[in-house]
Amino acid sequence: MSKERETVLAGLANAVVDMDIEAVEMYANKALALGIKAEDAIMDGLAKGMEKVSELFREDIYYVPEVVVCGDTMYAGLEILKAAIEKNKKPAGKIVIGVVAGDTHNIGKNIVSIMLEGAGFEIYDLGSDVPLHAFVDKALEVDADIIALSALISTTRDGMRVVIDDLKKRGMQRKRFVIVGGAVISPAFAKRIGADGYSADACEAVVLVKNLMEYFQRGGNN
Amino acid sequence: MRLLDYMNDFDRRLVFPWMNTIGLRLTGYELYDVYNSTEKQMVVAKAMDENFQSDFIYPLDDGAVLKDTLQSISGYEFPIKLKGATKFAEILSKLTVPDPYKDGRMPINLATFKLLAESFNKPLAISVQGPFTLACEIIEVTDFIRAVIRKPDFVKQLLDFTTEVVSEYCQAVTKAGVRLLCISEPTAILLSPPKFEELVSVRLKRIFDALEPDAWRVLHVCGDTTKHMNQLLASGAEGLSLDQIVQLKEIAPKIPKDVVIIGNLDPVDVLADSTPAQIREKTLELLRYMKDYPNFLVSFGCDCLPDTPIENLKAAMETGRTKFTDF
Repeated sequence: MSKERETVLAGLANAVVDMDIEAVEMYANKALALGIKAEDAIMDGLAKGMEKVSELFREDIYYVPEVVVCGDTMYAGLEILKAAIEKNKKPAGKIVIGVVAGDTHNIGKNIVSIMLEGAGFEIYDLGSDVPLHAFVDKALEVDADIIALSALISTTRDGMRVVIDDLKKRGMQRKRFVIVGGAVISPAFAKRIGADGYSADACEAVVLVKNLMEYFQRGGNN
Repeated sequence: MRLLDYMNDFDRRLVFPWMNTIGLRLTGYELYDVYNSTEKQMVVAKAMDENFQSDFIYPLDDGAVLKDTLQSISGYEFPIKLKGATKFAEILSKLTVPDPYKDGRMPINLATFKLLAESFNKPLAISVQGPFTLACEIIEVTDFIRAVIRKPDFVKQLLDFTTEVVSEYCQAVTKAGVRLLCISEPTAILLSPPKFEELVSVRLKRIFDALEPDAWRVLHVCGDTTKHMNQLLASGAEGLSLDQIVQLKEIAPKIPKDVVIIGNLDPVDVLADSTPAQIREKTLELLRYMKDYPNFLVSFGCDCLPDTPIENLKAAMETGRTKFTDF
């Protein structure tokens, strides 16, 4: 890797960690000017920064306000880089994502959404407090591969089971996966409600989604 | 008399009935009908007392009173989204501190507290939103926590305002006869300990310091507050209500002996999803491992779910009252 490329990618990552929007925009533009592929700048720059943010969050150095603002910073860089991604490049997969009804906490979901978009997936973000039927409605409308559900309060997590049951009833045309996450979700809970996967954080979510997508790459549904 | 002194006059633990909406199921009333009626609050309080023989009278908390009153005074639709062009000074200028004796449902609530305090021979307890949580109802929560980093002066000014709102109301409710005042700051757990101290602890202390001298000052913060313990204590609360995630065994030795530890049966896994027999066992387990702490008061980690079976709640309340000699 050239020194200049290395500096730009590190600059993108550090700008995200430092919550510095001016720097992230500057490095995103510089990356494109240097001919660095937008996908590389996202994954090796912005996403690396978010991985560091997740680490700081796990170590109780960053808390939610810092994580949210780091996420905003990453978005600012993403906006510039996304415009340069090849227009007709096939997305790595389609994902419908949202926070289940009754819950307005959208921070974790936003981070997962950003990371998945950076990893090349086409994201349909329904936001927070999403009516349960809307997940399957959207998945059928856009022919999504995966539905990603988030919940941060225990009283709303049972809504996830409703979405899974709804998909079983209405989404039989082909295999679609449901993954779950959020502060009140455990692997045991995910298993109990019949989810296809669980991730504890955004980085794990990207790995999980890529693993699930291998099912289609291996010819699942064909 | 402090809460701890009151507790120590008993030959068993006291039990705090953290079950806000259960009275609606017992009476069949609708939420806002009760908010707006002193008489209906009285019926709810009686039904709760008859069913659970709690150590405190805990009516249906009007959790929306501060937000609803501020909304009607300011003309804003809450929560306000902070956009690029938001005029922060304009928001602050439209917010004025309500008069608890005149504005919104506050006078109804004060009349209710006075009636309840006079009608029962048990301490009256209520919960009021804290200034940080109220600020997150005025400003959309994600925008507000963004502003904690990006607009710290605005955040401090808004928190000074919400602190005054909460303080004025809390002074009036304790004058009306509320004995145990629990300030709930669920959203403040989003902050790091230093930010919690800077933005929340100092303001809670201001509120607690202004209360009637014989009011019992309790603080509840949801989530794992283990790392925030010094900040909770810095608020000046004489009782800390701790979420079920907090490991009482580990945290209890770190809490001063004159601060009451309140908690922390799990409202979901234990109260909602277990049988009465399992709940009795879990409650006894809690009593046993906290037996060396005279400053312990039995409660739930947070408000119970609205559909928690009544028999489950009875099992927890009855077992919580087991005499020291019987477990």
